[in-house]
Amino acid sequence: MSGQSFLPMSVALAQSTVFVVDDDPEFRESVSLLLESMKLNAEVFVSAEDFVANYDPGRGGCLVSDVRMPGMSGLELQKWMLDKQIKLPIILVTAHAEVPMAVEAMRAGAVDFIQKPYSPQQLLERVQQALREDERRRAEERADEATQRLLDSLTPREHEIMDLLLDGANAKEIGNRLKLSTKTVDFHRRNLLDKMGVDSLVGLALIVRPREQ
Amino acid sequence: MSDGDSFRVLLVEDSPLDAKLVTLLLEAVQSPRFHVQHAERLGDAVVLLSQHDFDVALLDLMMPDCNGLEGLERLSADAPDLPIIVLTGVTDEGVALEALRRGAEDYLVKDEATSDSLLVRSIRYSVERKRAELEIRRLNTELEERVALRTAQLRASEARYRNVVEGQTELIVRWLPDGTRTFVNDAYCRYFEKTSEELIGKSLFSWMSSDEQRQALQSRIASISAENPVARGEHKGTGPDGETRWQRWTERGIFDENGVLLELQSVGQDITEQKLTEGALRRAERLASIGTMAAGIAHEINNPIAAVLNAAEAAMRFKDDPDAKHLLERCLDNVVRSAHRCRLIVENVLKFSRQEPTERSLADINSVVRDSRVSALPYAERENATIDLQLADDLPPVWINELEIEQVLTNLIDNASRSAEGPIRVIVRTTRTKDGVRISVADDGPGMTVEQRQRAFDPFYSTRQRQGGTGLGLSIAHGIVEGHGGKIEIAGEPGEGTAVTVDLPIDAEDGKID
Repeated sequence: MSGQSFLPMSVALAQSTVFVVDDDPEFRESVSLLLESMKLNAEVFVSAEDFVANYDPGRGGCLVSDVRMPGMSGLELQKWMLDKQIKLPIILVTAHAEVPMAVEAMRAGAVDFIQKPYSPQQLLERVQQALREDERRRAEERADEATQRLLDSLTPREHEIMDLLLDGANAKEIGNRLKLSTKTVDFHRRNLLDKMGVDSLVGLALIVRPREQ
Repeated sequence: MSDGDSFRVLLVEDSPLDAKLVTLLLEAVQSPRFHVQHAERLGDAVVLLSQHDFDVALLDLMMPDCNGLEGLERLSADAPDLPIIVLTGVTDEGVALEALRRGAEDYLVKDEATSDSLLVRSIRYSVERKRAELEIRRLNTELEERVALRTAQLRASEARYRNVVEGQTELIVRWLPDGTRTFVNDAYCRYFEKTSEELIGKSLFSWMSSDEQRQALQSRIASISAENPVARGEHKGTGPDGETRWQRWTERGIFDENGVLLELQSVGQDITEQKLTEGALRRAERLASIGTMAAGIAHEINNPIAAVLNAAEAAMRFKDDPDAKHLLERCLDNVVRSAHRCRLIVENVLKFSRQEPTERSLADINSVVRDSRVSALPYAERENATIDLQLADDLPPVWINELEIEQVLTNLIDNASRSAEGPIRVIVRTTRTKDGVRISVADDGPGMTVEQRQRAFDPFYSTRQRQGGTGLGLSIAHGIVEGHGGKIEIAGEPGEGTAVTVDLPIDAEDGKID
């Protein structure tokens, strides 16, 4: 369908970045190398503060962060991101086996809570899962934005009629309701479908109603 | 009793003539005066004795109703305190001597006794002698009584002592300064599983199995004097079944009035169990801390190992890619560096957990400080830090392991040097304290928070990026300082810089843990 911007997954992933936050230099570098070997983009930060100072929320991808760091911890970073409504998926990595910490992190929405040392495969799988998730979300957001723009282009009258149509009213009923002739209603109906880029009411419902939920 | 001026005489003489003669003789004497009463027969004499007091008796050995010495015996029996002079008509020395043996004070031969002076002298002499005799007897009796009393008192006291001593579960032994036991209580016998016969008379030292133990006891004996009669000490010996036993003893010296040590009394308690418990407790504490450390080690080593896994995995992919040669190199380099870090961690952990006492010597702390400055200088220069020394010149020498203390100070200076990015001034100061020396390492860096100061000595706690460090430096330093019997403390608020002080006593004890 036109008007929507969907990117093929592989292209989308290529634009994603894996952000790595860890205070241990060797570990940080090894994660970066590992991701590179999988042809993924990686950016490293020496601390959570470093990431907070330099991350641009528009950028997609996922975050792999150590939990225990001097200064801001991984969990605190997760909270910060929730506060700022940054929806980047987080994978937390720790050398400690702390169940309460893991539970808290997962409840707060982490993708996973991994214990070091782990198999590199496991990390890669998680990263890819996170990247896909992020991309899916972004795509939805973009779709939403697009739809919103289209809706904004409707006149108030067109809005009214669209709502009534989606409620299930036919042209005659709408005309009675709005004190318009059937013909005028039909006219508006054709225009708004056209503006919204759909062929039918069903198509309209598909893009408008889910959003309203 | 006669007062020496007059004597009451009982004359027992059957011959009236002889009696008259003696009576006249005696009563004629002016001084002293003699009052004579005459009895013809022994029986009469006895009656007179019961009626009157006499100072002396003159007894004729040949009487009608008794013969010779029997009369003497009878009279003596009736009047044991009366001096008796026997008169004999026969110059029979044998009889006379026998009379003396049987208790007469003197004997006189009648014919010869007609001299009044002889009689008088004999009477005086006899009375005096009898008096002396009675006195001696009296004193003897008194003495005997006193001794009996004393003995009874002693026995009572001994009984009380024994009660007290046997009632004890403590071991009590009395011994001579050469070690010979003179007394052991029941508990002592039971403890050594010997009878008191087997123990008394033998030396304490025979129980000891090493020269050390003998020395220890000797020096305790030596420390006892009349002014300080008590010595206390713990003693390690060997029990009856060969196992090691520990006791705690209190020794008390018993001195004569010249301050010479006569005997020692030792009261002891078995503290073997306590020692074992202490040992077990220390071992448990060590094990617990090892447990904590093991967790810390695992954590520390996890990172380098995780890095190795990642890098190796990446390397496997890069190896087939001709354009990724430099990336492959980076992977391998990472592996090498990570492995080195592991090695360092293991080394430090071993150093931290080592417990043997190390070589100590008398050292000048200032020279150790100078050495550590030399060690720390290259790093300090890289970190843009200067190290100034302010050393006191009145420091006593201290008993330390120089290498270990130098390691501690170098570590502290390193920490100070990297406490901030910009220029740092580190000052190392030495001062004399009441018990020893104090070294302080102060910097004008950012300082530490309360939490950081509290956790600073925890193994693996680190406030900086792990750039080659293991977080173990301060905990090792703490262990070394404590092992020297000293103290290490951190002070300073955020914004005020940090000062770490190390106090070392002059005669640092071995922090031995067995």
